[in-house]
Amino acid sequence: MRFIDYYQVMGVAENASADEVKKAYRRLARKYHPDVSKEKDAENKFKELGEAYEVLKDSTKRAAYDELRRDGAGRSDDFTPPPGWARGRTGSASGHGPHHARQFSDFFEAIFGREHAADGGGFTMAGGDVHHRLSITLEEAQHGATRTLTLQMDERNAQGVPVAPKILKVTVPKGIRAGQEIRLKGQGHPGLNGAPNGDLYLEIVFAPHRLFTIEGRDLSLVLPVAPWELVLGGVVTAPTLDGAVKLTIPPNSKALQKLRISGKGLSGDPPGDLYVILQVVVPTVSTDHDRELFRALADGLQFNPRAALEV
Amino acid sequence: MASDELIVFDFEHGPPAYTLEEVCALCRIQPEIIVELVDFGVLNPAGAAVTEWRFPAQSILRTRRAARLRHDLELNLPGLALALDLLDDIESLRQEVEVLRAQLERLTGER
Repeated sequence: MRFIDYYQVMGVAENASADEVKKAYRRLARKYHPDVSKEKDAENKFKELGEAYEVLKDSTKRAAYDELRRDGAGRSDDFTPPPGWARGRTGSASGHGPHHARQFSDFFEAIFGREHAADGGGFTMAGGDVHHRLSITLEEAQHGATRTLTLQMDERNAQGVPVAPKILKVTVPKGIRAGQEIRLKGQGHPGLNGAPNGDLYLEIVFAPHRLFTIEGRDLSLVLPVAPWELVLGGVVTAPTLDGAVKLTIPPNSKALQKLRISGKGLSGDPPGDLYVILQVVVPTVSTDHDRELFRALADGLQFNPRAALEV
Repeated sequence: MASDELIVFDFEHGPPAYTLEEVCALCRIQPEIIVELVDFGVLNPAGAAVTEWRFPAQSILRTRRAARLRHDLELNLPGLALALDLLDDIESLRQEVEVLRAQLERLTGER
C-alpha cells in the first residue's frame, strides 16, 4: 500500500508544534470541507486531512508514525508495516463523531489498527448513513425511471477482504427534483452486533441538458427562428420534455424576446413553465437568386438598425 | 436486505411535517443542538412550543449540514448561522450564473 506522508498532507514541517498542526488543520478544513468547498475531490482531500490530523495531533500516534517514517518506510511505494509491528498498539482511532462515519485508509489501519474491528468487542452500534449523489436526466425526472446503481463498499469483512460492490435498483419517482433526496432504509453502513444499519441517501442532481436550462421548476429553451418568422409572426414547432408543441409567434416579435408556454416546465403541482427565447438566425446566401431576395428587402425597406445610435 | 422503503424528501413543497424527535433521529443529533439552531434562526419550525414544532423537510438537509460544519470547523452558533446563510447565497448565485452562462452559450453558439 501507499505510504501517506501526513506532514505533506497538512503542509507542516516535521518539527511543527501541536499548535501549528492545529492551525494548519483549521485552515485546510475550511478550504476542503465538502459542504463549503467547490474544489475537485474535496471530499477525499478532507478525509485525508482528517486522518493526518488524527495522527499528528496525538503525541503517541505521532511518535509511532515518526518512527516508521524515519525508518525509511516512506521511500518505498509499497509500504508494509515492519515485522513485529503490533496492530493497534497505540490505541484505536477516536473517529470524528456521528456526522462522518469516518473511514480510515488501509495505510492508517495497518499502523493503528482498525476502528471498531468486525467483532466490535461485544458492543452494538448503529451503522452510519451513506450519502451519494445521483445524476439524472430531465427526462428521467419528468417521467420517472428505474436506475441500477453499483456502489463500491468501504467495508471489509471479518477477514479484512473488501466487501463486494452493492447493486441496488432504485426507483426514481416521477416529478423528483434536484436537491431532493431518496432514502433507502438500511442500505448504509452495517450496524455492529445486530444494531440497525445506517441509511443510504441519494441526493438528486440534474445532468446538464442539451436543450433546456433549469430554474426551479421552469425550463428555458433557446429557439432559433428566421427573421421573417419574427416579423410576420406564425406558428412554429418547439421541443418540450413531453414532445413537440406548436408555438405561435406574434407579428413584430423582437429578437431575444421570451415567450412562455404555460405548464410545459417540470411536472409538479402546479407544473413549471417553459420559457422560449427567440434567437434570430440568418441564412447564409450563396446564389444570385437568394441575394436578389435580400437586395429587394434592402432596397424596399426603410430601415436603419442603428437609428438609436444617431448615426 | 430489501430496499423497499423509499422516502422522498420534498424539500420545496413538503408540509412542515417533522417533529423535533424525528429530526433528531434523521440527523442523528441531540435535541439541545436543534433547540439552539432554532434560537439562532438557522431552523424555522412551525408551531410555538417545542412540543408543537414541525420542521419542513429542507430542515433535514440544513441540520445535517449545520452539524457537520459545527463539528468539523469548530464553529460557534453565530458563526454557523452566518456560514449557512452565506452558503445559501452562494448556492443561489452559482445556480443563476450557471443558467445565464448556459443560455449565453446557446445564444452565441460558443460552447
